Amino acid sequence: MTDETALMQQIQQGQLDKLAVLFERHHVSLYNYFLRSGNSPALSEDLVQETFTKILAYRQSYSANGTFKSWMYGIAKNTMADQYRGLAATSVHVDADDEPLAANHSLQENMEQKEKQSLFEAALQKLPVELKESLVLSRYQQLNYEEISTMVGCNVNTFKSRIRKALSLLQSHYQVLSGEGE
Amino acid sequence: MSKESIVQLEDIIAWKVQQIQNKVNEPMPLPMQQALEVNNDWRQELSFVEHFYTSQADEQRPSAQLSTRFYQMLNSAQVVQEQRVHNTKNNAGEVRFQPGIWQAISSWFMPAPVYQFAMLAVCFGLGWYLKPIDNNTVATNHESQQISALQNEVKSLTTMVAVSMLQNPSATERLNGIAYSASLIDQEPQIQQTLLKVLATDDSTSVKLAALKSLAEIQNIAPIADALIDVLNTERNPLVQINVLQMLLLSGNEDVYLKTTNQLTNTELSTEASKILEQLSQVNQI
Repeated sequence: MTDETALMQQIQQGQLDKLAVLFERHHVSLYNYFLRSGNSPALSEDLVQETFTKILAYRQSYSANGTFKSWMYGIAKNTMADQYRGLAATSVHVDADDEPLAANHSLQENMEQKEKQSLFEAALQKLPVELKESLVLSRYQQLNYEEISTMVGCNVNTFKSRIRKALSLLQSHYQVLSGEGE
Repeated sequence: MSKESIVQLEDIIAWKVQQIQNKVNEPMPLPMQQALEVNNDWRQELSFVEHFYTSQADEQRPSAQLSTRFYQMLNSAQVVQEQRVHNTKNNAGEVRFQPGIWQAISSWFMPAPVYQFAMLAVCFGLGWYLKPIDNNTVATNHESQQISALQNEVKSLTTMVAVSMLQNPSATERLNGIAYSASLIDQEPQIQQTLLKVLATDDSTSVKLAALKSLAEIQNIAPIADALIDVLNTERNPLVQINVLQMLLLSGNEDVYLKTTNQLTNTELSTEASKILEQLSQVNQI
């Protein structure tokens, strides 16, 4: 049994204060997950709060079969989907074309790493939501293929194809943004 | 059948991702290596994948408001839970086990609030009835002294009952004791000391948090500040540490504030409590 599964079991038994340990461990990466999924900083904070409120409310539905992390991101993904449904009339996504790219600052050599990262982030924002979501969960949240495929409701082989497609599209956008594709 | 039809690029990517995430330690399987050797496009795609998965990824930090909102939500949830537990136990009174002799004797000193009130009223009435009757004006002063003495007795009896309840082995009774002693918290050092002892040694987080909430009603917490800071060194629960810090920092006493901010270097503080202390001291500086 993992440390986090044990903590969740204690929360289920009424030791609600243990949720503070899980919050401190995950809230920053969860916040960045929402940011990378195209949400504003303020909305991302609201979504983190909402996710932890749901974790508390649905604590009895957690089973030790999966990891706490994958269960938490499943809730986070659904919370974001609910949010989008609620705000269907107004797009909450940051349009990558409207964002000034950090590539403008890329001439300085010591900024090379940050420039590459900015390009990756910008290229990521150009992907369709479904592909972006899969890639963010795999690359930045470090979830494995099995966990994500269960979360998004497909089998592992289908998910492998989806990731390949996402990476191929990401590469095309990256090359255009970096000037390599011209 | 060609090797490409046996080994798919998505399989190679999946393997690569696992390797980058330290989930496989073995070298790449031979069929995959052979497939890559004969396919330059695949090698380029895989190089991009590696580049993407291993590039530096800076994380942004949310505002301190997020933590504050979370802990407020958690506190509210705990209060609701405590009330539910309390109500459930009150409703299930008939299922309680038979008390032993010691518990029976103890319970004489820990009567239910209704009986306690009745007992106090009888004491007060008897005192009033038995007072010496003087027919001169000096009697007024004498009466007020007697009333004052009687009030002190009542207070000390209430304190005794509250202290007994706070020492009860049942967490529910200790919670009742905390609620019962609330009216005397600012007047009775003995209750303050008992609550500090509860805070430092009780097994139940709920009881500790309730004790803290009661102690927070003291108008001047300077005399007990050192005892509260000592709790930070022994307490392992981040939530209790955070509540103690909040109480000390928001006391409005400059000396207490300085003593508390000195705890920034305290290695006994949990990571969560250290972060909150840092954030609260920054907010107070602004």
